Parts: sequence; C-alpha cells; structure tokens
Amino acid sequence: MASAVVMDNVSDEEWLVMRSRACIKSDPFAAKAWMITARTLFPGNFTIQFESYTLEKVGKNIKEAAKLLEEMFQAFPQETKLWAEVQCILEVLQTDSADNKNSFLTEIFAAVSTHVQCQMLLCVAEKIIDKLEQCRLMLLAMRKFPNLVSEHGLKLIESLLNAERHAQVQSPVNCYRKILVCDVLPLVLQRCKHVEVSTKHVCKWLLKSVEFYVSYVTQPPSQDATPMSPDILSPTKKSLKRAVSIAGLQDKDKQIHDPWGSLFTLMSLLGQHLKWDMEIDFFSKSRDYQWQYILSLYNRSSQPGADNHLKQILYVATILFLECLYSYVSNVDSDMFATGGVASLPAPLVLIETFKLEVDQETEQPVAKKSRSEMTIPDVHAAPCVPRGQEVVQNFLTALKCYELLHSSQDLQREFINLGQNWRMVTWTWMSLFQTDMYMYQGAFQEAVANLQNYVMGSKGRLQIRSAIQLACCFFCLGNYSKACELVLDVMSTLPENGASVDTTEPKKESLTREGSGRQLLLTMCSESEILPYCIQLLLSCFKEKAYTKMDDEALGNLIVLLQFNWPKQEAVFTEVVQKIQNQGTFTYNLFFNYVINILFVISHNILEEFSFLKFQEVNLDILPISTKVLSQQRTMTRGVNKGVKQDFKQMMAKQVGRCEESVEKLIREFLNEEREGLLKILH
Amino acid sequence: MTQIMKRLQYLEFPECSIQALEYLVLTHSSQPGTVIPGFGGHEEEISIEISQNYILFQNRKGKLSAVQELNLLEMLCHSLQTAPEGSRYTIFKVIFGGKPEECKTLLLTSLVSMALSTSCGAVLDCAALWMQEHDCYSKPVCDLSRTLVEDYCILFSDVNPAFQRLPSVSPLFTCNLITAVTTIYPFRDKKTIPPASLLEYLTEWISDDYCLCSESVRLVRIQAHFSCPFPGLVNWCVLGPLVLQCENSNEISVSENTSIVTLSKLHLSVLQSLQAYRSMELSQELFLMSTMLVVAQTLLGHQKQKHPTDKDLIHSAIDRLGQVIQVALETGSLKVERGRSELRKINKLLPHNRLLSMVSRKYAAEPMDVS
Repeated sequence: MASAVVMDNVSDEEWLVMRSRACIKSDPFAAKAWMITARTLFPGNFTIQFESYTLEKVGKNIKEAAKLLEEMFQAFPQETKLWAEVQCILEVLQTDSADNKNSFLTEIFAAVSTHVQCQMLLCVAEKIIDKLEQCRLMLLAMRKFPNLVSEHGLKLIESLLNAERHAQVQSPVNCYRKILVCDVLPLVLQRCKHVEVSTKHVCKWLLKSVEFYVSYVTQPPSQDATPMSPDILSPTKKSLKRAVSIAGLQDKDKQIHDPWGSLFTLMSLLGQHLKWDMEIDFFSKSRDYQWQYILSLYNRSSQPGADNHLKQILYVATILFLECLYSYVSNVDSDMFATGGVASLPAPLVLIETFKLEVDQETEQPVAKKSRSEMTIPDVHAAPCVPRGQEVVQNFLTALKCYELLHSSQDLQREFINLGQNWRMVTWTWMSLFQTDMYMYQGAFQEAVANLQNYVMGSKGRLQIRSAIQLACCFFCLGNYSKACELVLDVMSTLPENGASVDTTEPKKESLTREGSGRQLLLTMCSESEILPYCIQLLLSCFKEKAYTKMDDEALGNLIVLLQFNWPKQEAVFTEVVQKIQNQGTFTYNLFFNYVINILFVISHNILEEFSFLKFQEVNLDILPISTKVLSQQRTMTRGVNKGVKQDFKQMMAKQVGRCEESVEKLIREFLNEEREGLLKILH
Repeated sequence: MTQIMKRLQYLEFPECSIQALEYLVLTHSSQPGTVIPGFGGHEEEISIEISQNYILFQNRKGKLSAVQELNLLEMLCHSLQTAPEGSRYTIFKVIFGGKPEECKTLLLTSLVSMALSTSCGAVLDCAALWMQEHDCYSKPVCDLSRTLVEDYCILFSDVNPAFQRLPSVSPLFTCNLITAVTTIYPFRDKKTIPPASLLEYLTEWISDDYCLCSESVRLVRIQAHFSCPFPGLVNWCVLGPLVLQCENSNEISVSENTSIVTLSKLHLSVLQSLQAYRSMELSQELFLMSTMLVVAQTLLGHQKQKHPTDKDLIHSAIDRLGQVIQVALETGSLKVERGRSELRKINKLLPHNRLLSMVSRKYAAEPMDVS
C-alpha cells in the first residue's frame, strides 16, 4: 500500500476518487464499487458524483450514466462542470452525427426521464449567452417536447427577430432568419392552431420569410462555393474553436432543400392563420389556374361591399410574381444564381422583337410606329432552341401579369411599393433582366434603352452580348438605325467566325420575321448560331427601310449583299429590289463584284443571273469595281467604250460565278468589317 | 372411511395417484365460502392421509420403480401447474408440509430438480415458500439445495440453460437457493469453496437483477420470517479472494483467477443490490453488524496465516468489508443503532484501514471520541 501513504494528505473524498481511478483498468468492477461507496459516504459531493457519472460513461452504461446525470442535475444545479457536460450532450443532440462517441451521449440523454430532459434543455437554453445557440436549443427543446411550443413558441420567434436586429447583419440570409423561417415558424404554426398574434405580426413573419427565401435562392454564385458562410456565421462567435465546431453544423444547415416549396408551405400555414381561403396545393397548380385564382380574388374584392382581400392578393400575387420571375430569370441566365435548379445553358436567353416581312409603305415615321406598337399586346414565342421554351414564356407572362395587377390599384401599388422598400428590392439586380424584357413587351423601348444602358455598363461576359442585342433591337424599333447597326456590328465582331453559319438551318430563321400586323417577341438563345442571323436580319431591315424610303442605291446594294445570307430565304425581298432597279432604270453600286457571289444554278432565280438579265434589259448598271462613269470619261476619245464596258461586265460576271463556293458568312463579315464606316454613314 | 378412501383402496398406481391428486386439487381449490357446513371438517386429515398413502406411498411395501416415480413427478408438476394459483401452496403443503420426513424430502428433491429442468414455475414457487418456512439455513433446505448444486453445477460442467434462466422462472426460489448455497458453501476456508460454475451462475443472476436478493424480503408482510442471501454473499466477496489465494498465493490457476474476477463483479452487484433494496423501501434490516464482526474475525484468522507480503490482499478484503458495511448502513440494510459497538470492534480488530475508519467515524463517532 505504498500509494496509500502518499495519499495520506489528500481529503477523504479525493482519496476515494483516487482509489477508484487506480483500479479502472485492472478491475472496473472494483472501481465502480469504490464510487458507490464514495457516493453513500459523501452524497453531497459533486466531484464524487461526477466521477461516478464519468465512470459509467466510460463503461458505456447508458442507464446508470443517465440516472447519475439526472441526480446531479437535480442536486447540483450550480456546478459549471455539469453544465458543460449537459451542454456538450445537447450539442451532440443537435448534430445528429453518426460518430460513435457522440451518438452514445445522445443515448444517455434519451435515457434521462422526459421531465428532466425538458428541464435540461430549458435550463441550458436559459443560461447560454450566445443568442443563436440559445435559440437553437429552444428549437431543439420544442421539437422534442411539442407541448413546449405553445408556451415558448412566440417567445422564440420574438427573440430570433430581436437577435437578428441586434446582430446587425446586412443580408436577410443569416443564421437567425434561417432558424426562424425554416425551423421555428413552421413548427409553431403547425403546433399551435390558434396563435394569438395580430394580423400585422403574421404579415411581418410572412414578409421576413419571403425576403429570406428569395434572397437565398437569388444569391449569386461565388468563387469559394460557400455563399452563405460570411452571413450565416454567428457574429457573436468570435473564438476560432467555436467557429470550427459550428462550421460542421452549418454545412448541413446551409442546405435548404426545395426553398420555394418550403416558402409555399409556410405561406399556406400563415394563410391558414390569417383565414385565407386558399387550397393547400395552390402553388403546385398550373400558372393559368394560379393566375385565375388571383384574378377572381381581385375581382371579388373590388366589388362594393365585398371582403377586402388586399393583403391576400398582395402576398399571393407577389409570391407568384417572384417565383415566376425567379424561374424566368434563372432560365434566361442559368449562371445568375448559385442555387440554379436549371440545367446550365450554353448561352443566356434573350427576348427580342421580330421583324416584319414587308416594309410597310405607309408608315414613314418610325416614331409613329412606336406609339402604335404600345397599344398592341405582342405575342411571345420561344425559339425551338430554347429548352422548355413554352414554360419559360409562360413564367414571363405570368410574372408580367402579376406585376401589372400589383400596380393596378392605388392600394395595391402602395402596399407593393412598401414591400419593395422593406426588402430593398432595388438591390435585387437580377430583377433588371425582367424589367428590360417587360419594357420591351410593353413596347416602351425608350425605358428599355435607359434600363439597358444602365445595365450594359455593369454586365459582363455572356450577358454583354445579350444586352447589346436587346439594345440594338430597341434602337431599331425606335427608328435609330445607325445606333442599332453600330451595336449589331460590334456584336458581330465579337462573335467567332464560322462558328455558326455552318448549321444555320432555315427553320430558325423563319421565326425572326413575322407576317401580319401584330407585334411578336421571340425568346431565343444568345448563341452565335441564333444571334448571327438576327444581326444580319436587323441590318437587312435597316437597309431595306433606308433603301425603300430614300431610294438610296448604296442602301439597295448593301441590301443585296446581305440578302445572300441564307439565300434564297429572302428571295421575295430580292425580287422587290430587282423590281425597284428596273423601275429606276439605273443602279450604281461599285462594291457589287466584291461582295455578290451567290449563284445557285439549281434555283431558278439567283442574284447574278438576275443581274445579267437586268444588264440584258439595258438597265443602266454601274456595278463594276470602277465606276462606268469614270471609265466612260476615260474612254471618251475611244470608240466603242460601251462595248468595252459590256465586255468587262461579262468577264466580271463569269469571274463571280467562279467564286460561288466561297463562304457567304465570311464574305458578309468581311463586307461589314470593311464597309463599316460607309454603312453607318448611310443610316445616319 | 370416506368414499374417496374406499375408491382409492382398489386402485393401482398410477390410477390411485391420479385420483388422489385430483381429489386434493378439488378439495383445496374451492373458495372458502363454498364448503357446505357440517358436511366437511375432516378434509385436512383426509387429504393428508390420502397424500401419505397414494402420493408419498409411506405405507407401501415395495418402492415405486424409477419410471413410476418419474410418472408421479410429472403428475405432481402438472397438478400444481393447473391448480388455481391461490391454492397451489396449500396443496403443496398437504403433501410436503409437516415434519420433514425422509420420504417427503426425497420426493421433494426429485420434484424440484425436475421442475427446475422443465422451468416449472408453479412448483418452484411452492418450493421457495417451503424453503422460506423452513429457513434457508435449515438442514432440509440445505440438503435439497446441495442436491440441486450437484445436479446442475457439479455433474454437468456445461452451462445449463434451464438453471441459467432460473431467476426469470421463479425469482423467489432463486433468492432462497442463493441463501442456501451460501450456507452450504460459506467460502470460509479451502473446504467450503463453492463450485466455480455455481459462483458464475450466482454472479450472473445477481448482476442481471439487483432486486433478486431482496425477493425473500418482499414477502415480509405475509411471511414474517425470512432469510436473505446478503450475509452469505458478503462472506463470499470478502473472504473468497483470500481463500482462493491462500497457501499457494504465488501460483493462482486460471480458473481461480476467473473466480477472483467474478467475485469482484459479485461484490459490485451486492452493493448495487443493496442500493436497489433501498429504493424498494421495505425498511427491513437485512443483516446484523454481528455477522460483519464474524466476517472480520474470520478475516483476521486468515491474516494470521498469511505471509506479511499479502498485506494488499488483506487490505482489499477489508476494503470490501468496509464498502459493504458503508453501503448497507446507508441503505438501511444494516441498522447502526444496534451495531455501533460491533462496528467499533471491527475497526479495532482489523489492521488500520482508511475506509473502515471513515465508516467508523461516520457511524460510531461519539463513543469513539469518548474512548
């Protein structure tokens, strides 16, 4: 008993603990026997009690450990060591980790009597200084003991709202809001069928929830792939160690599966409390159904003497608007949001105005056209290249209708603006995509231009082309052809050569033009293969407008060059052009042989043939690289000048026929590039 | 002579025994109020007589053959099992009660052994009450128990499942059996070491159910007299290691070492059983300080025989004694008012031990200060 001698100067309590510890390895039974004895000798001694607990814990005796823990909890409520242990257990309880050691602690907790479990959770939650931790524990307590919800539910909601306010976090996507919106509110609303709070409060909750989910889903993707980490980290957690232990927890917590679905569920719950008459699966119905519902609600409430459903209309329409908007925008630019549920597309989608097939002779003033187009509601079509195009268009239109509805009455508008201010909607940059498209839809091209010009500055990469195209489209519609062309020429210079025209098949081009008088918008992909034809079509339309209205030979000539693209799609236009030249009896275009090569023997009408024919018909054609006028001046002295010119013409024609294998796209690019200055000058 | 006696006279075995048992069950199963006054009154004597003649066969010339005896045992088991619960022990007492005569104890021993192997709780419960009535330290009970130990622990070294699950079949019987075997094998010296397998069974039983050892005390309200296994178990735990490591302390066999570990587990289980006893709130004194004094004295005897280097062994024995006394005092299984002087004596008798001094200081403080 050498050890006993050494232990002479320790207290009896310590001595007993030491005796127990001394034989833990060699004889665990004896170690336990010592602790039992010690506990009966010093029932009021925490150290001994805790040692006994530790011993049982080490021995994995769940029942005994739980019993001791319970005893300690009741006998020594002030001991910090006990609190640390209880807190540790509760922390493990929150992580649901599969870790062996940890799950064991959960089992101990499970073995503690329900009453004490509940007390433990509440007491620890009360003691915790960290607000976030406190709220988490309260949540855990309420989850485990649902009857706590009625007593503590509202308090927890309040304290989460307060905690968020005090933490002064910028983003609504933060830890407090997440717990409030994703965990606490659904729990409280589900458990308590009659929450005694004012409509104002419930609306505030709804407001917070919508803001959270919308901000969550519209987060831009970030480099480190942890978009929420700076916000969600509890600001009160300064120590490194705490942050690390929390990090694991948050990785799991960061994920919100089906955010929209969660928002809809929450909305239904809140709606029930507000006595809104709404089907539970309202948000999974078709867009048409949803819109009709809102519309009928709106109509009902605008009848005199009817119930005022203002709040309900406001929230349902706003949420529907936001969801449609989100899904439209995330389809338009699949890289826009970190939470993109849409399969990534190679390029963004773009909404553009299509071109009229025949020039409307009566409308001389493009400005007048604008005011008229405002009146008509355009058709919106999706190009075949757009996946689930109909759905995307549907979402766009529904969002638009909701937006218009929300601005249809003063009350609604005021409320909606309030919401917008509350959410700081102006900071939701992703909304500007929609805004532009909405202006275009409404024919408000001036506003669209203003919006785009704001936006083009900030947009990068793929969206730059999109904005430029839309801007060009708007300028075109506003009759500002030179601006439109300038933009289009810029865009074309950025498009890679030969990238697209190879597979430019005809059906795609069809949709760029329209028949009839109504306006038509096209939703297409901003890829080279889709954009190049559009660019050319736009230039073509510009020159057509110019050539027809001003009888400008150069414009007419440019038109002919451009018509070669996708020949013979625009053969009708070409026939018109030929007709015009015939009528004029003269045509001067010295670039002709540089850029007109298109001969397709199979097709009865082709450009060069037609021109040979014109020549034959004695139309005064001055289309040689050197003007015949100059030539004729040079050859004044010589006889048979005209004969020489004719000879040259024939030779040139024959030469051009030899070039027919050349790439038209390349030729046109070359043309646009070389003649840029001249082209823009004509359109001024 | 009653009708039944007349009828039985003409019957051979097994018919006579069957009818005799039927009569016994029928007579003792009737509710107290249903007996027609003036009609009976002699049932008790008649029953005993029938039992003596047709079950115990006291007056029979030739003994029953082994097969016949087996048949009889089966009948007994069956009859007791099917009899109403409230009257089982009355029937049992008619047959096996009274003076413990040889013919009774022999049949009883065979019956219990059979009931044990077939897990027949009804018979074992009756036997348990019988043991309690006779006192578990008494010779008939010890004889019965010894036979069982021989049958189940010595003859067959393999683990016997029926014996193993005995506590679940009849906890009271198990409890009384433990008391009896600790009496037969007090573990005081080399000659009284219990079979190793018995020690294993006991330890398993007790560590699986801390209330098992208090089963006999539970009946205290209907049966004032009880014996409980704790005193005997204390002997085992405190003295066992000393006895096992006696003389040949340098070389302990594997089985002895296993037994020593098992004893440590048993000791812990005893302490836990004492704690469990407190929570049962029976507030009966389970053993006396004088018993502890005897243990201390035996311990001292061992110390004198031992080499001085075995000081650790002695001290851990004293530690265990101290632990048991402490926990027993704390749980009310030992009453300090009646054992203060004995406690002081124990403390004085044994070599100085810190735990024992603590216990002494705590419970026998004032008189110690005076002295």
